[in-house]
Parts: sequence; C-alpha cells; structure tokens
Amino acid sequence: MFSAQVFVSMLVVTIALHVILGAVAYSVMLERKIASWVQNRIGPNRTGFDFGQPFLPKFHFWGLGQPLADGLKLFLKEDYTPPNVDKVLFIIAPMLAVVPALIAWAVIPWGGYWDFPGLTVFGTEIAQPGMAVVTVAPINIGILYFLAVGSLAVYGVVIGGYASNNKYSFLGGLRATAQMLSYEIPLGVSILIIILMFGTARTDLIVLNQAQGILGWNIVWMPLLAVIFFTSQLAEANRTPFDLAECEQELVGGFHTEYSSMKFALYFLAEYAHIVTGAAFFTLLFLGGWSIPFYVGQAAAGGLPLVLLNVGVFAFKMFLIVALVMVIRWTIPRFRFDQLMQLAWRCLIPVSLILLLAAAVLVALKVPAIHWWMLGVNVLTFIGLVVIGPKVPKGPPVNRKIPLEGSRFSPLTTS
Amino acid sequence: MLLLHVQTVGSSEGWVTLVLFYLFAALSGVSAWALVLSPNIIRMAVYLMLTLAGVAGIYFLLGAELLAAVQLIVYVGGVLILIIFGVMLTSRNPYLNVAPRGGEMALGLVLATVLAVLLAVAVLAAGLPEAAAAAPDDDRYAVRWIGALLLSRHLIAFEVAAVILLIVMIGAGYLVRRRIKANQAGATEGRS
Repeated sequence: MFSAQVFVSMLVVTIALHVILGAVAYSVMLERKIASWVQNRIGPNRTGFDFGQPFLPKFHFWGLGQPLADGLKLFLKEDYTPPNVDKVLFIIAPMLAVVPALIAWAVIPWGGYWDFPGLTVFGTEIAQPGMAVVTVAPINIGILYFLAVGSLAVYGVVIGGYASNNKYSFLGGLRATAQMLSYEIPLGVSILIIILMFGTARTDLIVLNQAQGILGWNIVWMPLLAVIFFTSQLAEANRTPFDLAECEQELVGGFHTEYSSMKFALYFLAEYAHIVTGAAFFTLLFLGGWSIPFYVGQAAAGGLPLVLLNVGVFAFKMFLIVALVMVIRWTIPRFRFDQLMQLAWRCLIPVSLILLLAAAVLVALKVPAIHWWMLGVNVLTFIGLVVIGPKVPKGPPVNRKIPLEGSRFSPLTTS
Repeated sequence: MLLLHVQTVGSSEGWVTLVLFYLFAALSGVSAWALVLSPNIIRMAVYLMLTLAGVAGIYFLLGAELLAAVQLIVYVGGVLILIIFGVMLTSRNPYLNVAPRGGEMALGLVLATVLAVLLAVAVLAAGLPEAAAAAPDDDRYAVRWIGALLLSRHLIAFEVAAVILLIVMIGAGYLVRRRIKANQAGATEGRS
C-alpha cells in the first residue's frame, strides 16, 4: 500500500518525535548535572521512579526520575493568565515557539539509506520494498528548509513578550528580534558555503559527500566556518552567552516572565529542542552526519543493522555537541547587548562573507583539491583576523546613553 | 532519485495530501478572516503570518519546495519586521485598537472586489492540467535550475529586486539616523 519511502518516513516521524522529546526532557537533567560538575556540586541525584509512593520500589536510579517529576510538576501547577494580557496571542505564542523547533527535524538524515525489505502483515502488503532515506522528508531543498523554519523561531519569543503586557517581557522580545535578525545572516551564509562546495542542498547528499572517515568531514577543512556556524546557532537558540532575551539580572525572566505551568513548559521545551536541532544540523553539516570516524569504507546503504549503527553514530555526535553547548553555558558569561551586535556585524558577518567569496571563486575556477584550498582560506582568514583585528579602528562608542524621550535620564523635551 | 512528493502525488497516499491540503487551506482561510476582522495591529500581523504559513504549506504539498522555503523566509519571516513597525508606529500605546473610517472601508471593499474578480478570471482562464500531470518533474524544479534561470533569463528582474532592496535599506538607515540626531538635538536643548 505505502511505498518504501513513505513508510520509512512515517516510521522515522513516530520514533524521532518520541525519542527526541524524551531526549529534550533528559537534556534538562544533563544541563543540571553539568552545571553541578562545573560548580563542584553533585546535582540532582535523589529522585527515582517511586515519586514518594510507598508501594513502589525505593531506589534513586542516580536521579534519573527528575525530568519525569519536573514534567508532572509543570502539569499540576496553576495555569495562570494575568488579567491584562492579550489573551489570544498569549495562548498562541508558546505554540509558535515550539512548532518551528520541532518541524526542523523533518530534513535531518538520521541514518543514511535503508534497503527496506518491505512489510507484509497477515498476507496484506503494508509497505513495498525499496530504497529509502532514513529521514522524514527527503526534499530537494533540504538545508534551505532548515533556514526557512529557523527564521520562524523568533515569533514565539517576540509575540510572547508583546502579549504579556509587561515591559520586561517586551524588552526581552525586542532584544530577541534584533539578535535573531543579526545572527541569521552568518548562519545563512555558512550554509550557503556548504551548498556551494557540494553543489547540492539535500541533507543526505551533504552527509554522503563527507562520509569518508574523519578526513571527509567539513570541520577538518573549514574549521573557521564551523566556529561561525556554531556561534550563530548558539545565538539562534537563545543560549548563553547570547540569552539576552531572558537574562534574569535585568529582565526578571524576560519574555516568559508572565508564563506558568505548561505554557512555560512549552517555552522551556522549545529552548532545549532548539539546542538539539542545532546540534543535529551541526553534526550533519560539519561532523559528517552518520559517518564513523577513521573508517573509510563505510557502506552508504544497507539493512536495518547498518541503519541503527548510523543512527547511533549520529546521536552520539549530537550528544557531544549538546554537552559542549551546556559546558559553554556554565563557562562563558553573558554578553552586553552592544557587544552582541558588534560580534555579529563587525566580526561574524564580514568573515563569513569573505569565506563565501573565496568559496564562490574557488568553485567557479573549478580548482582541483578544493578542500585543501578551502582549508588554506580558513587558516589565512583566521591569521588575518588575529593580525588585523586589533588594528581595526573601533567604531563609535555604541554603549553611550541614548537620550530616549521620557526616560529617567532625559526628561521629555516637549514644552 | 528518492523524492517523497513524486511518490505521494497520484498514488494511494493521495488522501494524506488531501487531508493536509484542507488543513493548510483552513489555516489560511480562517486566519485571513481573523486578519480582516481584528482591530489590533499586532494580532493582525500574527494572523497574516499564519495565513502566509498556510500558503507555504500548500506550496510544499504541490512539490514546489523552493517556493515554499522562499515563502517562509521572505514573507513569513518578513512579518517580523511588520510587527516591529507596528509596535514602533503605535509607540504611544502598543495595545491601541485601530478602526477603519467609512471612506477607507469603501476603498478597501472596491479594491478587494477588483482583486477577487481578477483572480477568479485568471484561475478560470488558466486551464489547469489534471493533478497527475501537474506532478513536477524532479530535475526541472531542482534548486540549481531555478538558480540558473534567475541568473540568465530573469536576470533583469533579479537585479531590479536587488536594487530595490538596497534602496529600502539606505532609506531605512537614513530615517533612523535622522531620528537619532533629532533626538540628540532635542535632548541637549532640554538640558540647557
């Protein structure tokens, strides 16, 4: 009845959605654990799966019940809607935050190609045999879809901030807007470079082109680009050091100050889902997706064992990236807003444009061994940054007090 | 070689496409109604975003993936700017409700009627092919072909769009600079 690809897609949707939502819940726990290790504490280690019920076996399971208890707690909390909010938008906003983070998973090629044997239950053919990509949607535009969906991620934050009718929330939302608009440019440019180099936007082909042991991975040949992509991805996911939209010291909770219960939980979910999505895309763009390091003759297509192995490799790389993101959160302090803007407009965007120009020229000239050229360009650009960077004249002092009308520091001038 | 939409359209999975089509169409239609009827400018922007996102979904169903992505990036992403402008234009009170006056209402009605008639005529005159025949050939609609066409046959349109965007950018920069300068001048006057 179903063709192989459609059946595999449905299978991947079902499994990926549940596994990743579970992983998102547990990444909250991972974050708390990493925070405690960085700060020389122990972290959550008491909550098992007994939830205080005397008839359940009492064992701590190293605190692994914590995410379940957290979820239960969020369900049971009062879902409070403050009286003066814009009710429609207040309810829509958390959905707008979650949906883009979840649907970006559609184009991630989890495990290469599956030589699907077909499925017949009680003599009825449910799925035909055939070759299928282990992904949800093997669409032509692949990685552009990621960009398109990524550009929607900011709406939840902005609209939530506006609908709350709270000036701190509103400031958080506006900050997020400026930040995401700025960091989308280096993100898009670095993806463009990858598309230029490989001549395809399809995610499975991008991974396939890298699947030659560790020497095929993009991070080896374009380390600077990987750093740019990673940084922009951190900013897009609103993670420290770029979490100005919700910095506690200035804006209470930022855009989610007024949210409680499951609405808050959706924001929380969206934040961690963004991290997982970002890690997945970093893996597929720079870490060779499902390719096993130091193993060259990896078959691209195969049966179920190979697919499972590929998915495992992909997930392990994602896990490492997520852990790195969390270590960064507890290591690097938050930027000031003007520093954030300067980093984007005076560093990341020019550098990524230089790399794009170089890649375009190299591709147009059809140079042999383009990888080595690209590595050279990356290294040269980095050296140039280190040498020229300190000598670039500083811009006007952007952190000065801009006399806003009616603010405390400059009273209204209307006479 | 392995394209989902080629297999989805015109096979036994057609009902999935049908259900999704009605879902996206309902999203577009309902939020378009809400957009017209809402008095709040930010809500209007959000409903407009939902309408455009529904259209993007329909593009995906048609197999025009690049068009859908462009719709999402340019139009749906552009609504963000609309929201910011909405907030800035109503900076006295962002929760202000706007009500159209009689003349505006009449003008809008006339324009909408003309547009509706025009669209109806165009759709009826188009002579759309059957669904199975309309399934796009995977190679012809690939990104590389659209890119090549944009830079060869439609180069002038492409360049004109780029120039217009540049003009808009310069204009926005000019407006912002002028406002900051005016603010500074006002502030120093106030202090002295």
